[in-house]
Amino acid sequence: MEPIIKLRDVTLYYGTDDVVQNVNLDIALGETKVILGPSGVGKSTILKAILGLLRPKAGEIFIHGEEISKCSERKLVRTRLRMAMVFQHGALFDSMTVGENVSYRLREHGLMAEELIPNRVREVLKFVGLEGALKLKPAQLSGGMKKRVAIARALAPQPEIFLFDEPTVGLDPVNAFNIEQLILKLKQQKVSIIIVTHDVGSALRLADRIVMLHAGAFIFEGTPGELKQTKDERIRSFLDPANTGALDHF
Amino acid sequence: MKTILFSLVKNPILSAAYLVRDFFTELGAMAVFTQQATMSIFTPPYKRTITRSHMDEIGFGSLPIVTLTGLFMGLVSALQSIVELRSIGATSYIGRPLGTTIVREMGPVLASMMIAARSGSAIAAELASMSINEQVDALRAEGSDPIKKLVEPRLVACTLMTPVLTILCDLIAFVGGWFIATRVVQISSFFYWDSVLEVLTPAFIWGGTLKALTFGFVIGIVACYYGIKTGFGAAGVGGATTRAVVTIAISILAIDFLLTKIFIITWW
Repeated sequence: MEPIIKLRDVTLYYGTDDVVQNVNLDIALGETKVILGPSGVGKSTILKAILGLLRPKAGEIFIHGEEISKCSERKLVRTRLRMAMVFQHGALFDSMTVGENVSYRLREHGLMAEELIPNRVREVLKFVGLEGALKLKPAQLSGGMKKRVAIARALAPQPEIFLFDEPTVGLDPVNAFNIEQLILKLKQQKVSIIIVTHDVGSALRLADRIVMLHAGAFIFEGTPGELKQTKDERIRSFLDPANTGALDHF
Repeated sequence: MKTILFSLVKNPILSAAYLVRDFFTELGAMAVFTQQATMSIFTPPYKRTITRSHMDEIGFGSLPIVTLTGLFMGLVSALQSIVELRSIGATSYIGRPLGTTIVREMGPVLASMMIAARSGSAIAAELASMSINEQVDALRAEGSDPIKKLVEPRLVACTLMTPVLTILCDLIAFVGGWFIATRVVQISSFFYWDSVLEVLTPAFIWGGTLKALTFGFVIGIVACYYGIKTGFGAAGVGGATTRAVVTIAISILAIDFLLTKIFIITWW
């Protein structure tokens, strides 16, 4: 089957530095792929490039067969509406209530009749277990609640592709578990999911396939089982830093 | 700052070349941003409700500071004028220098500086904070244009409210001048207002208002530009605010000179 997202020889940069060089990546329809790697290697940058928020220095990015790296901002909007991103810290709009945040895309782009929107908002808030938070402002929410609202905002317009940037980072174990459960529930809806994380346990639990990013390049792609069996020292030292010479590689 | 100074001493020509290059790069980026924001103002959909709320925030929010600025500007200008006019025995004409200096120069410049300090800094800090918290990226991810959503309403509000506040500032300044004129040099209220109105030609009033309109646009553009293009972390917010206010202040003074020269050649 043709991949829904394809990256071909993509190089991404910040300022004058190349953070990711010549990477190739395929994501199939209904697949959950985790991009694993230490902090600061360019994992989130890849997500932003897929969403069209960053233009690659070189290479091509295909979404549903359409090359997006050189297309206009107006065309990109159409592509972005087929995806939803859950940012690392939620990135909820401060000036809006939870309900307004969740319904933002539906109202902004007229994706649903106005009278149906309140029901949809309640439905997705129920999915993330925050039915009572409808009228609260983001400042009144905890970190875990913000992440759940961000997931609800992503869910509301029923996109085909979900992008998660470090979904469990900074959360206590209970909240991290809740977020993982939500992603597992989401997987059952047969959508494509890309998760960026440095949390090995979370990656192993959520992924269909895992790619490992190291020093700006992918050094592994395989299933969680294959990752655990790998002999690559760089990967072993990331998976089990206490018993390997982690500092030699990171 | 220490690093810039050190590199200037170490390799002055190369460092100066880099500074000039960075200046023009920034100027170019700001020109593109200004073009996008200006185009957005004239492209539907218009964000009327958000614009009104920013006009309310900038207009009513800046009212106390602009009123006080106008009052003290009038009081001080009147006192300074008396010193000069007394030497030639013309204190009864105090309204004339006040009328010209306040409407043509001091009103637009000082009111705009105060709006920049209060609202320009607030806009830069708010947008910088949104940028750092990835809310600007989130807007784009949701298929919205941050220029349309965030910049346009603030830019329109600044551009429209600065002339309104400037006119108010001028009126309060005249009241301050009237207080000094009637209490210190004991001239009649009628004579004071008559001499003020005598010099307030439509060209002066329009000139002053046009200046305020331009300054308001500059406040909006510069504050939004530095807010959206901020660096990382709390230092990024602080840096964006400082750069915005300093750039606005310098721009207002430079544009004031330019407009004054143009108006003198054409209208005044």
